[in-house]
Amino acid sequence: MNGYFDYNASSVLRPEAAAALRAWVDGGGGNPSSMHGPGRRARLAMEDARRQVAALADGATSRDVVFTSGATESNNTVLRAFAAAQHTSPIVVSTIEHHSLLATADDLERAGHRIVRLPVRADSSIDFSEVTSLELAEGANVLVSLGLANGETGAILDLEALLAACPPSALVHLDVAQAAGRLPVEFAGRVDALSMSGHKFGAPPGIGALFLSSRMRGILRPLLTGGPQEWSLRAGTPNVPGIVAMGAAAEASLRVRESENTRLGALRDSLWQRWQAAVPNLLRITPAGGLPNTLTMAAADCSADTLIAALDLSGFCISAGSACAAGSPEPSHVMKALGLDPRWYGGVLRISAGWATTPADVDALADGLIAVVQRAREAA
Amino acid sequence: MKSLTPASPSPTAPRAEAGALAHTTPRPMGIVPEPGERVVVAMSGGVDSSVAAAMLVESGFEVIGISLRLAEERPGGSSSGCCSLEDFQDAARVADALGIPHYVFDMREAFKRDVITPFVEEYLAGRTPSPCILCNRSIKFSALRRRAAELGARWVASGHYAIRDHDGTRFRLRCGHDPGKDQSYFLFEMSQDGLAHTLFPVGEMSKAEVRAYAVDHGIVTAGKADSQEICFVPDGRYAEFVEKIAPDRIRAGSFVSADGKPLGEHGGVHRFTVGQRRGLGISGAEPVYVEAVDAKTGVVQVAPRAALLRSGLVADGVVWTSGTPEADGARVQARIRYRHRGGMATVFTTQDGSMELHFDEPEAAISPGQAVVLYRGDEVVGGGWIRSSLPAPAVAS
Repeated sequence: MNGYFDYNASSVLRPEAAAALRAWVDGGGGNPSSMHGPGRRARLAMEDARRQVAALADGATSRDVVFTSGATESNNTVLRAFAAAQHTSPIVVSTIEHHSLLATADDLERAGHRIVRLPVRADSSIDFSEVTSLELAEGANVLVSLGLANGETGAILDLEALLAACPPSALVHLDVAQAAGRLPVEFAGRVDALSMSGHKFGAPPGIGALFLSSRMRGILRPLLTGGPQEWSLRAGTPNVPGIVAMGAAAEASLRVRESENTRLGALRDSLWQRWQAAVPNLLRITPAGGLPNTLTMAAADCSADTLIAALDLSGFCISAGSACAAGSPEPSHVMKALGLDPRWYGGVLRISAGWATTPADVDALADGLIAVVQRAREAA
Repeated sequence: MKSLTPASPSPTAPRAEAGALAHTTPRPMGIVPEPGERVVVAMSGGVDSSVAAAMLVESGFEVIGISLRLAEERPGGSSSGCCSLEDFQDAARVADALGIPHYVFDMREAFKRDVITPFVEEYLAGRTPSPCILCNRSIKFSALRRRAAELGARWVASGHYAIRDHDGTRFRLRCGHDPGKDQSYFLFEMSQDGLAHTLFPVGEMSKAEVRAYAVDHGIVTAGKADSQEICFVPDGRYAEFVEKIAPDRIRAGSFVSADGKPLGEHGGVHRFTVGQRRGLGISGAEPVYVEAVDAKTGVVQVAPRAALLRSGLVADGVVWTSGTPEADGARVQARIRYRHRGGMATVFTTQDGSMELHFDEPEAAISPGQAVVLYRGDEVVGGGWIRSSLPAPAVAS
C-alpha cells in the first residue's frame, strides 16, 4: 500500500525523473557553460529539458522558459522586477495566494508600492470587481499575479473572467505551481508570465521555471546577478540534475494528464461519497470544479494536527495545508479568507492524490480516516 | 521499520562504571505494557524527557513523542528557553534514534490563555504566580491527554522528577528520588483519574543517573544544560516580561514602612513578591523585606525580617491529590513555594471550601498567588493556592 496523499505539498518522485537524475549522476556531471564534451552534453540535456518543460503550457516555446529554483523564486522575480520598473503601477493579488506571492507583495508594500488584494467568496472564487474599477495614474499599468489552481482548496481560477476584468494593457502573471502537469495551461495571448515548481509534478524539489512573454522579458531584472546564464535573466550555474529530472517529469505528466484527471477525479468523488455517508459533520471545501486530485474538507470539532498524526501512525500521509519549519501546522490564511466558521477551522484536512495512488490506497485511506475521526470524537 | 533498540555508543567503547545501572532492564513504573500499548511522551528536547522516552521504548510501550509549541520562538531560533527550533529538532533527533514517531503540536493559543495571561494578571494584582503548575494542569495533563486519547494512547508520560504509583487503594503522587530535582510540587493539581493515566519514567532516578543513562544509550541530548527559569521568560526577568505584555497597565507606587512612613517610589507592584529583599533600593540601618503588596493602592509595605513571620495561611482552589480530603486537625508538611523545605502544619477546612493551615513554627514570606502543597511523608496529599497569610503569632507582636 502507498499511503501518500500529500501531492500538493510534493509529488512522489516520478520514475522517469529518477531515471534522468540517475543518468546525470552516472554521466559524471558537467557545467553547461563549458566548451568541452561534458559541458556540451550538459547543455544539450538542459535544452532537451527546456523543450519538455515548455510543452506544459500551450503556446509556449523553449525560448520562453527560464529555469529557477522553484515557483517562490519565479514569483519573487516577477513581482520585484515589475515594482522596480513601474513605481506607480499597482500589483494585484488575492487573499488566498501562496505565501511567496503574499509575503513578497507585503514586502513591496512596506517599501511604498501599491498592492491590491482581491477578496474571495465563500465558494473559493475570487471577486475581480476591484480590478475592473481600478484607477491607474497617467502612464501607469498593472500587474495581476494570481494562482491558477489553489494548493489548499483545489479551486481553479476563472481565467476568462479575470482577463475580461483586466484592462487591456495589464500584465497577467499566473502562479501555476499546482496546475502545471495537471491542467491545461495557456501561455499565449494575454498571459505574460507563469511560475512553476518541478516537485509538484514528480521532479525533485529545488527546481522550477519562469515563463516570460517578450513584454514581460522587456522589464525583467534578474533577482540574482552574476554570469550570463539563462539569457542573463537568472545568474548562477543551472541546476542541471534538477532540470533534466523536471523535463522528464513534465513529459511523463503531460502524457497521462487527461487520463489521470479522469481517474483521480473518480477516486476523489468516491472517497468523498464514502466519507459523507460514514462520518457526520464533514464539510467539503474543494469546489465541484476544483483540481481532480484534491479533496480539502473539515471535520467539525477535531484538531487537524492530531488527525494527521493519527493517520501517520496508520501509514497515511495527509496535510492540513501550509506547514511551518517545525512541522507544526499554522492556521491557514486561506481558510481565514474563506470565512470558515471557527467550528470547522481547526479540523481542515487536505488529501491530494497523484500518479502512484491506486484505488486500493484510496479504500484504505477511507477506512483509516473514518476510524481516527471516530476515535478523536469519542476522546473529546 | 526501524529497530526499537535504542542506539548504543560504539560497541568497542568501554562501558562506563555508571553503565551498570543501564544493564538492568528498567521497570520504573511497575507497568508491563500489553503488546502495542501506546503512550504519548511530552518531549521538550531536554535530557529528562529524552530518557523518559527511551525508557518507555525499552519497557515495551509503543511510544509517540510529542513536542508542544507553547510560546512564540524568538527570531533566529534562540537556543534558550522552550520552543526553539533547536529544541524541537533535538526531540525529533532523539525520537528518530529511538525509532519512534515525533510530532509538534501547536498549543500556543491555549498556553497564552491558560498560562501566560494568568501569569501577567497575577503579577499585576500584586501576587506571585506559579505558571508551571498551570501548564501541568491545563496543557500537559489535560490538553495533551486528550490528544493522546485521540491518538489511541491511554498514557501520557513526561520527564518530571516525581513518582506515581498505586498503594492498593489509590494512586499516589510522590516526591522524585533526587531531592535536588523533585518536581512533585508542580504536579499537586493532578486528579486520581489523571494519575491513573500518567507515567513519570525518571522519577526514581537521580539527575546523574538520568545523564548516565543518556550517555550509555547514545542519546544526543545527554549533555544538554538544564532549563532553570520559567520557559517563556528564559532570562528570568519577569517584571520586564509583564511590562512588555501590558505596558499600559503598569502604575508606579510607593514603599511604605509598617508604621505608615513613606520610603520612596517604585515602578509598579508587579516587581515585588512577599519576602523579597533585593531590588528595593531602600537604605536603612536594618535590611527590609516586602511584607505586603496592595495592587489597588500601589503600596508595597516593607519591614525587617522578623515582621514577616506568620502563623498560617488561607488557601483556595483546594485539590486533594490523594482522592480523600484531609480531616480537620490533620497533620501535614506544607511547602509554600517550590524550594521551601516544608513546615509542619495543621489543616482546617473553612465554610467556603477554602483551607486554613496553622504552622507549628511561624513562616516568613508567605506569598499570595503561590501554591501550598501538602505532603505526608513523601506523598503529595493535596494543596491549594495561597490567598492570604494569617496574623503573626502573639509572641512576635
